Amino acid sequence: MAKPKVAFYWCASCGGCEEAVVDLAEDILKVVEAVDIVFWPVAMDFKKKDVEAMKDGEIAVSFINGAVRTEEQEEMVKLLRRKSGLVIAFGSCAHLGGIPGLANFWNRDTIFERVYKEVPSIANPKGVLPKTKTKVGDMELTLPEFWDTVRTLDQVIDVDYYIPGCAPPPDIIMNAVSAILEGKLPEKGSVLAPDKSLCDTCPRSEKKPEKISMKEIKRPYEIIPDSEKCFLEEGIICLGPATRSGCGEKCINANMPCRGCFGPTKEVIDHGAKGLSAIASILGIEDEEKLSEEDVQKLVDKIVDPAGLFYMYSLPSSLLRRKKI
Amino acid sequence: METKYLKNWENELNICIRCGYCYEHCHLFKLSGWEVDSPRGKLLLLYGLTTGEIEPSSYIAEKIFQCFYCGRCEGSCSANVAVRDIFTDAKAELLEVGFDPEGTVVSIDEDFCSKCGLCVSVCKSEAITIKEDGEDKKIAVDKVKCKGCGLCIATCPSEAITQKEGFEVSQKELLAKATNFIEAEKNGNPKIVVFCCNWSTYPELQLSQLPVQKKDISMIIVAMCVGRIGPDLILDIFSRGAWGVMVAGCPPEECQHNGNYKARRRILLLKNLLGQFNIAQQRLELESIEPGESAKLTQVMNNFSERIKKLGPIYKKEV
Ligand code: SF4
Ligand code: SF4
Ligand code: SF4
Repeated sequence: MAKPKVAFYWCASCGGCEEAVVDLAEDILKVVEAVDIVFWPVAMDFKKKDVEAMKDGEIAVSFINGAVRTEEQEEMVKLLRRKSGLVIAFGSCAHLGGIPGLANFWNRDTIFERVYKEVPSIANPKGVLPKTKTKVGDMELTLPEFWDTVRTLDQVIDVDYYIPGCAPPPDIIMNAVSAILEGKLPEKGSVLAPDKSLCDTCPRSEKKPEKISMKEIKRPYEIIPDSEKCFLEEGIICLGPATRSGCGEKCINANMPCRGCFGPTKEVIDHGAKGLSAIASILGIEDEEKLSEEDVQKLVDKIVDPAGLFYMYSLPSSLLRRKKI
Repeated sequence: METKYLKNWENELNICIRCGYCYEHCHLFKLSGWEVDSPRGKLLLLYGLTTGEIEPSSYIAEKIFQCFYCGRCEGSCSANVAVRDIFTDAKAELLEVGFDPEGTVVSIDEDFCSKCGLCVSVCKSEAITIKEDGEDKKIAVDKVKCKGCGLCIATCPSEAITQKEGFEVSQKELLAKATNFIEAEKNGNPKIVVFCCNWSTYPELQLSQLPVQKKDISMIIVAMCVGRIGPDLILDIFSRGAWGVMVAGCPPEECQHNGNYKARRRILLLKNLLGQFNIAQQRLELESIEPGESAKLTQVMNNFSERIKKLGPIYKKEV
């Protein structure tokens, strides 16, 4: 029997998801043995025309990482959708928008201004900005359009499953791959990771006081957190209560709080709003009856950049999706 | 039935003169219009249980377990009956004899609960605890202590806490009401959604003559306690085209559940966040109204709607 064909593609991403595949170490040999990789721009020399030449649905599975921000990315993922049986959104950016999704606090013009004119490391006296069409002699060079808004993969094409994480850890990837190969997939649209939030598996959960309260807000650089206490107890915002588990608690073990890369749990529609509600609910709760409105305002203002914090990985997938322009 | 807790209330149950002042204030009565859902009706049933004239049934138990403990009935009771304390003891009684109704008591979905413990912290009634469960732990709700305020539901970041639907106060039902209003308003009037608690604000709204209400330019939704309004609900309403959202509850110190304190923190933080989205912070307001201050309420509502009218819709293209 012919081996199932598999494609990998990257959109607006950092390359970490590609690393994650390589991080499978010897397990990748098992994958390579079981499947036939027909497209993987970062590692193999196949071109778009090779994909175009395939029959619709010929690729068994496409793993697509990165958010969608340019015309080219949109075109490629639509092409891959047509040619694939299953499309898997791979990693936080494809799943929720990820770090590139934070660009939704700006738009194309403000990003171009900043990147091509203002940053200290740029010398661009003529103020040249990228354009979709440029005349060079009698030739015309083209670039794909750069959209104002970053989108998640499922805002552009139909997605069958999600592998969460920035980047997805090897065991989550291998479980997903085995589930696909063995045909043991859950219902369409599922995130292939546990359903409970990180506190369920967090080693610090054990010693958490029964009633948890945040008396104050501290940013991670302000203190060296006790490596055994729950971050919330120390006043450091941890998105663990609001974030799907399965990451292997890497940040927690490095003494850093959860920032939410696995996204929300199954029933939640807006990751940031849930995280915000959870934190605000326990902030200053011990003295809530004594605090004046001004006191509360001060406490709340200690959370610098709440939008960037609570939507660090999920802005494009949020209810508001982007800053109003 | 031989009553254990309720028999202490036999006199009190008789103090109720069955005047019926309470029922028009009770959310549950307003929903169904049936006597059995009114505080008076329930007191009568409990009186019947203590005297032995009525035998308990799962139907009665379910009714007794349906109460949001807003206390509005007691506020209007001409005989000062401790309605809520009676209900609490009745719940204990009914549980002991083997009934296990759902009522307005919340329950935990163990498939989603990560035992983060946040709900334990926010429950003023101490109804939620972390219990040892063999090797593991689990979150347990005390059905007698839970007052159904819904604070924990808006707190739980995993949507692991549920309450029976049908009382028109779940996030889903509140969203549906707001959405219907937003979609139905097609005359270019401001789309303002006002959430009220059943204690301070809503009765005042009923009494006061609000011009904004007459022109039908805002939607007033009774949420029982403002502590159950989650930031996700507010954002959802904005994303569906609301121009402004006002949340009106009791002044500090006066909420039965301390839901207003939670609402204050959530809303102040949410306002900061809205600013970052370039959405004017004045579009979201938390107001606290002393019971009886209908003049203030009218003024607050008018000011809010004037301000919102000036701001216009958030998105040029109506979503
Ligand atoms: S809040 Fe963070 S540190 Fe605390 S138990 Fe949950 S995941 Fe662990
Ligand atoms: S807040 Fe939700 S997830 Fe956390 S312990 Fe309570 S029910 Fe469980
Ligand atoms: S917070 Fe309110 S609804 Fe939740 S358990 Fe406590 S009393 Fe019941």
